[in-house]
Amino acid sequence: MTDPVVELSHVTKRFADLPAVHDLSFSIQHGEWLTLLGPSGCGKSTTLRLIAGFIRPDTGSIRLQGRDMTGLAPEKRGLGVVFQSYALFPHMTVFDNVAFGLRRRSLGKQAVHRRVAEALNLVRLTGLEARKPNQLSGGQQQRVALARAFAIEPAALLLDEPLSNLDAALRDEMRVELRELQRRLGVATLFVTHDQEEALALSDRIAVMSAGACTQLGTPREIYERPSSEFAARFMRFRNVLKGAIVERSSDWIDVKLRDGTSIRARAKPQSSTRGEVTVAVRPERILLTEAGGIPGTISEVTYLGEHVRCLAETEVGPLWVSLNAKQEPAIGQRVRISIPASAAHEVTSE
Amino acid sequence: MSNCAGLNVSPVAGALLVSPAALVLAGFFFLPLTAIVRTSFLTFVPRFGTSNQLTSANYTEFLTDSFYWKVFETTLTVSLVATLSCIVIGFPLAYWAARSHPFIRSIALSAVLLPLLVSDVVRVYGWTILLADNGLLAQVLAPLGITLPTLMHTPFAVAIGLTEVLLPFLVLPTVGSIAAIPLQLEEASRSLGATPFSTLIRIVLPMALPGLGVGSALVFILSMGAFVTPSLMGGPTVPVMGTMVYNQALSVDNWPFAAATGILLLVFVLGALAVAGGLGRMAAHDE
Repeated sequence: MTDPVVELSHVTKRFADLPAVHDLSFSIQHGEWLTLLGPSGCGKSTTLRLIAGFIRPDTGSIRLQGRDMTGLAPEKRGLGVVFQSYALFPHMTVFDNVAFGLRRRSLGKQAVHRRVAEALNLVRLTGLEARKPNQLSGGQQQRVALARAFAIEPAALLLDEPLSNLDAALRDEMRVELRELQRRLGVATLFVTHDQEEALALSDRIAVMSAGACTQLGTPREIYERPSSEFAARFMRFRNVLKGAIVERSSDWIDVKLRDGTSIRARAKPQSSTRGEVTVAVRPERILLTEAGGIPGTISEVTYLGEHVRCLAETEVGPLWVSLNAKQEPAIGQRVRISIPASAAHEVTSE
Repeated sequence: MSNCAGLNVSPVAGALLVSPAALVLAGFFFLPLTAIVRTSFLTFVPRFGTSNQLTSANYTEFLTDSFYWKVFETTLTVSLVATLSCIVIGFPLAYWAARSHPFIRSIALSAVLLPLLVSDVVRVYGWTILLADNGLLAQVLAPLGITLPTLMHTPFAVAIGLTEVLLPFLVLPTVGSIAAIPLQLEEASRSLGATPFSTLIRIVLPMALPGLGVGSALVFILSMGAFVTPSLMGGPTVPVMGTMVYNQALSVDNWPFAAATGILLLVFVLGALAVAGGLGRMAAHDE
């Protein structure tokens, strides 16, 4: 078994006594795309900066291909970093930007030319070598930043929200391109984002981060389908979080009695044995309206979203978000009955 | 855009806004300068003073006498050395200040500015104590068997004095320029394999050029015209343009020649700045 490309163990970093990253451990395997997903301030960018070597951890160690690099200067790590702002050198041409890392590696002039040409060809920017960054569009700048990072054949790519400065259409396009490029180069990649859709679309594995710690690490499917914590659930658009009491627990299911007396069935959290009070997360698009039974409620808000309408229903168990097909659009004030099928609800750790 | 910076300012309001500065400039700069240009073409009559006879003799006298050229050469050398020293000392200092915590930065900048609150005369006497033939430096080095050549009243001493006096004029604009460079550019450079020094030279220096250029120009201009520092640090053995104008005007009472010398100095400095600015712009386009 080869060493992971990047391995963090028990890394902690404090800023002015506030832990920005707390006891964080994870690893990135060869060719793997690992995403750090979380809201701003959760420590994901700090983690990237720790790996890049721009800041040093207070405790814990960071290893690169089995070698400890905790105190190593960033220029000795050989990692490719792409910044949200791209951080292109404005006084240099596209060619010189991409060549910058190669020229620091005492390669011959011809080798530099060849590898810059290859890198620019990969990001489809051949012909723009002589341009300055301010003569390029946002998407082109993004590509130059990428080319510059992987021209040095980095051990790993570190991408800090590289898509968030692009407009929506371009972002979708770059997303596909980025993933394809990463697969082709087979380079281990750490991707930092606050956008759950981006994380789901791109990642081999996702680490959901909250308050400097990793709350869940898994494949996009696992994270989306089975969020383990209330935090992860909310991040994965489980807009409804309900409290209840466990009536019965099997290995796969729990029966939960909600505040108003209705019972629902939810998927049990693996290895959980909680009794009594329990938190259940429910995804709005899996909730159904029924003719009889269910939880009675009154529609108080309707937002038209094209294909779907998002409605808020006031019920005795609290406000519930329900996503409905636009054809079923209810009126405000309409009385409805809400049914939560077993596939819609998940047991999560409460916060 | 016909209005400044694209703001919608009416021409009348614009004229009103500009007028105080324009009046000050006209009253205290253009009028005296015109008077000096006129004086420079008048005739000096020894033991009598200035006659109103127009002549270009003052200019020809300066331009044809190798003594004056020598003074000009000394001034230019001393100014270039002072400017270069200010860059070598001031750029790292400005970088450190710009990248420090805002609190540290304000303390550092105060420290840089503080000497400006002390009179030139006092500061220069401080240097005298240090550099004089029997001064502090000589006394410290004597037991080590090192004997220094005469330092005071040499062009070297003038350059030291000017460097110290003018350093703030280089540091302040440079700090502004460096602070405006995103830190991520330096991080990007480091991640690509550049050492901190290489990053400083290849990324920070070229991007700080606007501020560094302004600062260097200020130091150079002020050095070329300096009077107090050269007269105290250089004394009569190191005449420079500033001290020469002073002597001609106030000791010899030859105002026309002093005026002509001043105008020649002004023309040269303006020419040098124009050339430097042009070169800078060409370099910026070539990059």
